[in-house]
Amino acid sequence: MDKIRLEKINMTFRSKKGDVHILHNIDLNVRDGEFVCFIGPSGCGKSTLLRIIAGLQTATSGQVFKDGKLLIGPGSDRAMVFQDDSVFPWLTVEKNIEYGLKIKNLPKQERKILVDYYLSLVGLTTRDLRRYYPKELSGGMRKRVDMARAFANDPDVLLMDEPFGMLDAMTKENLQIETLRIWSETKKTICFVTHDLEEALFLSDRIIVLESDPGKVYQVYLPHFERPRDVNIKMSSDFQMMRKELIDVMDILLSKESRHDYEVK
Amino acid sequence: MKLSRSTINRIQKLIPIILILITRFITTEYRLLRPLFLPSPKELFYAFTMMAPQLPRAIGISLSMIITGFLIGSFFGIISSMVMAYSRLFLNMFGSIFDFLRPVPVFALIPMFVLWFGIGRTPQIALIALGTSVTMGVTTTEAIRNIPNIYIEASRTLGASRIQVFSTIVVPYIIPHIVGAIRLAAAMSFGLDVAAEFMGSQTGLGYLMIVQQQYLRTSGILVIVIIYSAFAIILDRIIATIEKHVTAWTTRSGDSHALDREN
Repeated sequence: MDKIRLEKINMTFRSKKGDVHILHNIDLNVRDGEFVCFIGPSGCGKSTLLRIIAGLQTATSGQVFKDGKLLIGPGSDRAMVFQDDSVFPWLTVEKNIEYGLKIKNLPKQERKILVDYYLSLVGLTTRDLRRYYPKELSGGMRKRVDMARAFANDPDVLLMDEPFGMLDAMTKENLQIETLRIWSETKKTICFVTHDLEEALFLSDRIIVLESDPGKVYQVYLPHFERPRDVNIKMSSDFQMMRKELIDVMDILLSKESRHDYEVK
Repeated sequence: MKLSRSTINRIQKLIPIILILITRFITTEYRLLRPLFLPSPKELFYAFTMMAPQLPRAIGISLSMIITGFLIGSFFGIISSMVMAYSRLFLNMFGSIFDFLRPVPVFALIPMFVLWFGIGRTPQIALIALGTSVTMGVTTTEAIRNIPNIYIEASRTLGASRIQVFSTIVVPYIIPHIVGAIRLAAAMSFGLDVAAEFMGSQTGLGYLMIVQQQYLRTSGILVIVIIYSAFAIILDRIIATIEKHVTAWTTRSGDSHALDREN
């Protein structure tokens, strides 16, 4: 069953220097419970694609369906985790996680149970962390709060836009493992944008490689590694071979892009 | 003995005050400065006792004017801020007015105010109210425009409606700025009161000051300056205490120096 269906998505930004065609005729299906990663050279519109699914941007043409229903505007059924810090600094950790639940008008006891559950799910139960303000937390912890807030809202689809791009390698790997664990526990559909090939291979069921100028689907990879996945598969020859393949594809795309730049000049 | 950082900070803060007091003591004691320019503490005390009978009434009148003007101004400032925060239409309309009014020196309007509202308390209160509301309007307009988009987008994807984005994102984000603006406006309203009273007041501290000036009683003027300052500082402290509570979440780290923060 398709969770998300994109039909002929086109996106054009108008600027003074002329129109920029970001996305070109994107057709895509995402299965229920699937973990899909989008990769591609910068400027290929992968983030824009995610924002269109989130409803934060409207495609110039084309439509987005969820469970067969046309989507218009953002909604709590599609939570987004951003690359930058989006944890509300004026709310404490627990109030941040509670935010969407309050918007939904859930009764207090229910909110408390959910907050407790998701705090422990992202591993933020130590000390009195729940009463801390975001400024008192490290970047990795804030990202956990961000994820807990998104998951606690019980969305159908989770959209993650380079969520770990700003974190150090260790924190990043930890959060990747946590993401897989939470994903397998909650059975959500996840669309994940990244520029980290290893991350994409480790996390996803399907990798969609986008080429740029204009952005369109270039190739699709299926990392077939058995689940639940252990970090150690990153060391396996199978994994590394696939990674090499992806690197080569990205190289082709990048050189194409630079040649294109050259021609334009 | 090792002093804690906060003790050292406190001592460092006291140094200039002590230096000023010492300088002042030396200059007055050895008559290096003519008392006309800077009267000695003794003269100040004398002037204070001379004026004492008139002071309570004058203080009462000035303070009531300042507070009335300040409250009216803050009320309009906050209301217009909230309306601008909610509606783009109002932000566009009034935001541009505030942008336009920002560089206008309110003090320059005093003659016009006297003309419009006559002599007496009305023009003075109106002037203070205007100064206060413009300061607040300018600050909050700026704050609203600077709300990071990511917070709005995050709350939208968490299911917030327009009114919910307003009450859960916009308002909490701009409150520290509004309180900061109130603090700025409070300090300003004292200055506005002095200026306003210079234009044809018959009572109040500012009026007393003019009288002292006419008789060239420097010590009297200084006493009034001190009284004004004392009340301004008290009001400022009260607002600062409130500010501390509402800005607990911001990253601003109080006293610490930009180049060597320990945190």
